[in-house]
Amino acid sequence: MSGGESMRKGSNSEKMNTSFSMMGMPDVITFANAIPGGFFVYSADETEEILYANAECVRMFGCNSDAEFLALTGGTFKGIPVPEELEQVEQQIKEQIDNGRNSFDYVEYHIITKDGKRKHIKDYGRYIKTEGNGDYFCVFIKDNTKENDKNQRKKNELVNSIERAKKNKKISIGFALRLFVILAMLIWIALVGFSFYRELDAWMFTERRKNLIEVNSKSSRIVEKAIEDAWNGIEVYEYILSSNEFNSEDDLKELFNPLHNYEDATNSEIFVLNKKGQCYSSINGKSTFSNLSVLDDSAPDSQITIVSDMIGKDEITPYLFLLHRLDEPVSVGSDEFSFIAIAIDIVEVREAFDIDGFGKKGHVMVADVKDGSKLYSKCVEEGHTELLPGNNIVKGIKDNCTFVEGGSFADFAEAFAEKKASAFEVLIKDESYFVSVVPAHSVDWDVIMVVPTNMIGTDTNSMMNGVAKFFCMASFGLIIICALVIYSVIRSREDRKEALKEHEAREVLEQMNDRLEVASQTAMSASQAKTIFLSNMSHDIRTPINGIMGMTNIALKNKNNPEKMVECLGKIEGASQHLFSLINDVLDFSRIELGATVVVKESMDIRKLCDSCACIVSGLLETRQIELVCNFGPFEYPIVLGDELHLRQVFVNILGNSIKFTPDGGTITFTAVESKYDDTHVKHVYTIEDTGIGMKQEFLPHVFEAFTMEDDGARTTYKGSGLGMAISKQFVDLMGGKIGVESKLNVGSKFTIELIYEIDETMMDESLSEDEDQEISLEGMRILLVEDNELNAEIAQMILEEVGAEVTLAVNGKIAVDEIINNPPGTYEIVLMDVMMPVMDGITATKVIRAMDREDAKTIPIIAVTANAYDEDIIKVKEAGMNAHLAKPIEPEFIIKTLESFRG
Amino acid sequence: MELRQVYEQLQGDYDSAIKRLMSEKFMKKYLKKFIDNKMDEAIMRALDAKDYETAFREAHNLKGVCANLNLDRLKVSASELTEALRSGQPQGDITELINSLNADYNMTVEALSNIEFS
Repeated sequence: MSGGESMRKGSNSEKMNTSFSMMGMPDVITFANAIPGGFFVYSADETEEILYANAECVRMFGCNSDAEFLALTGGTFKGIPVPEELEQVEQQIKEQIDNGRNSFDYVEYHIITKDGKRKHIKDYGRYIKTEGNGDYFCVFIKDNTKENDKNQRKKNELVNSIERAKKNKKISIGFALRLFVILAMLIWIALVGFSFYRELDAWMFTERRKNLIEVNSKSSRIVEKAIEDAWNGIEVYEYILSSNEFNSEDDLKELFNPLHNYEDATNSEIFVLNKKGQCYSSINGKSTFSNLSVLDDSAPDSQITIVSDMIGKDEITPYLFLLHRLDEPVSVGSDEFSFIAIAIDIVEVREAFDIDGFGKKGHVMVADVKDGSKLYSKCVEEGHTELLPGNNIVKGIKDNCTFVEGGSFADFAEAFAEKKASAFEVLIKDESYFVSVVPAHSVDWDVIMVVPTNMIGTDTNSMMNGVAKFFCMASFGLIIICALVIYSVIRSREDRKEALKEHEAREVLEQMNDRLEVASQTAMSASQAKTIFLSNMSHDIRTPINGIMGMTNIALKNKNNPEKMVECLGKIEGASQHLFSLINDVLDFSRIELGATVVVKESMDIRKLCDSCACIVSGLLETRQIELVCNFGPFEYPIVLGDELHLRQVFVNILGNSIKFTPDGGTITFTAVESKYDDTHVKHVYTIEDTGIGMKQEFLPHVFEAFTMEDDGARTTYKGSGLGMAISKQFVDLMGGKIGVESKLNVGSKFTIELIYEIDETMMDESLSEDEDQEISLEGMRILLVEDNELNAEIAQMILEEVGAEVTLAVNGKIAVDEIINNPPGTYEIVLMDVMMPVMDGITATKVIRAMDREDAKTIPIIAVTANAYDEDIIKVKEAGMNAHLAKPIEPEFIIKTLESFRG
Repeated sequence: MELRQVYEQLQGDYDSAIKRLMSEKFMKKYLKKFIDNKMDEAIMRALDAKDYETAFREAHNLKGVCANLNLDRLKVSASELTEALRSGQPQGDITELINSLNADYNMTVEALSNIEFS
């Protein structure tokens, strides 16, 4: 309508108002109720009275009527949002309307419906001013619960993932911490190693230093001893000198000789000297002493030096030269000597300087502490290259040595000057040497050794200790690292395992939740079904009972009307049978549910079972025009262990259903197929197929459920229990088999049952012989076959003759009758009468034969062969006097068995 | 062609047929007879002459033979036509049924022609 159009397009409002006001209120209401959402109007005053609410709005609040809605909300907008949100909502609306230009407002809030459900609402309102009719709000509301829930869920997920991330961060913090500790440990080990090396160096230095000083000290001690001995010697000589008088040199010589001999084999020389340089030696006699400075008055009383050139000596060998000023000068003849001196071969001392360990590379020097002058150098003596050339050792060291360890040159100079034993590591021409200085205390001398570093041994024990210490510290660090690594690995694995377990647990919980939900739903629906069943059942049970009671009543009232009574009794019979089967179904089902039904394994003959089913069912077919086709076997092992009773129940149930649901003119096919399963078992597949009305696809999964029945075109007066299929399935399940169904609407249904049986070995041989018996049971039987169709006749004849029967053919009823007439009784044992024939049909022919005046007229078995039950009334067949009927197409086994049963 | 294959082609139940007729020898014998009988012609003749009773009987016979030989597809169309003619007058428009019958009959015979009736 045009009003609607312009409303949407939002054009000329005047136009809209005109059309709108032309609509009557009822139209508006219809309109409003059609709005896809809640719509209400309330007055914009203090009361906020709700003036109108459409049907959808009422429904959204869970109400069934306007009255309920008004009651729920109190008839005012103030009752619409939940109380805790009302104030905020009102505030927001007011702000938006006041500040906005177009009188629109949008708010969100929660409502509680009549049945207590909480919903999330989007509210679009418009403020309307009218001239003189008051102001009001028109509001459109939308149920946003689902979306809100979705958003909530998303928010929760987000929060969860943030929590998870935080947790991960915590884990990673711990991890970082561990990493840091490991790094720290590694650095620590590095530092330890590094400091160890430094220590090692220092330690080695210390060791070497100690070693060298020791060696040096030994040498110094020897020097000291030698000097001490020398001074002792001088003292002795002095005493002798002072206690003797010497008139001439010879006297002195005389004295010296024994003294000289007194001295051991060393080349020592005793001198007396005077200021003038005159001297007298024990070896060389009178001579001159050149070094007058030592004889000066200012010279000290005792002096000692090492001289390398001696008066009158050939080799340049160093001598210890000790000089002492006599307390009293001694006169020899005209000369006066004021000094005594002794020169000792340094060889004694030299040995002390021979340090095997140092080899030829060690240098020993003796220096004068006063000025550092080199008094003696072992190298020079031996003729090797001087390591520290020059006459001044201190200078030599200063010039040639680069101090590496133990101190600087200044320290050396100090040690040298202050006669402190010390040792230093130096580099001389880029080679590492140790320099030690050890004083000889009784003289002002220092013994200096310069030895290559690698010649100096170290104490291995102590080194081992140091190494051991290092390894211990390093191992300690490594152990800590390993422990930490293992710990973190374990922790992270545990963390992961925990996370996994948590996840699994959650999954399990969810699964359980789902299953519980499903179970509860199933339980609910099962209980629902049971309730429905019970309510139906009570009706279904009552109906036949009512029928019985009613009929009994009528029967009693019609005692004089036998026909009526019979009719009632018939109906009572039907009703009670139905009731009986109904109750049986329920009892069966309950028993199965209780687990009280036991499925037996007893010897049964499957062929007999199938036949009896077919027989039972053909009874049901008496009143129907349905063709039953049976296809049983062949059975190699017909005797099996199974539950005949329950299996029959199953078959009859399904066959009964098929009959119920197949219209006249249809076909039901019942087949049984055997196949070998293993050495001791066979598998049977039974199918019951009908051309009935079929079932909907959606119903198929529920076929075997209890209390379910598809809405049917049941032809029976009373409804079934809905348990038949359920019971059948339960039985099949108990037998360890499978049951299934296929169906198509208006095409038909097919039930398939698979069962596995154990072969009854004990019956095997018997059954074989049984079979054999059956195979040849028609031997010699004379059969009159009445069949108009040539081909059919030939086939039937062939089948019968195969088992030894003698077959005579008649192509129609008339010829058959003639055959009978023209042959004496007993010629034919049995007549197979096709019903549908030209000239004279089977019914008529039978009647004729039966009416004959012959002794076998009434007794000769006549079996009807019918194409389908539709062709003729089976009653007619019975009435005509036929003994049985067989269905076409001919099943050899069936026919043979039937004929055999009529045999003599 | 194998007899089983032929039955597949004409949409018939080979297993039932061999059970009833007990050997392929017999099956082939009767199948040959079936082809020779030309039962469809009998039906058509009767229909053309509007002799519905005969047509019914012939259709009924055909149905029976098909049942015996498990020419199942042909049996269905024969059965349908039989029912339509049971009352003695055609029930409704039987042209469709006649056409189906002819089609199925031809299809069956064509399949059967693959048999070696040595």
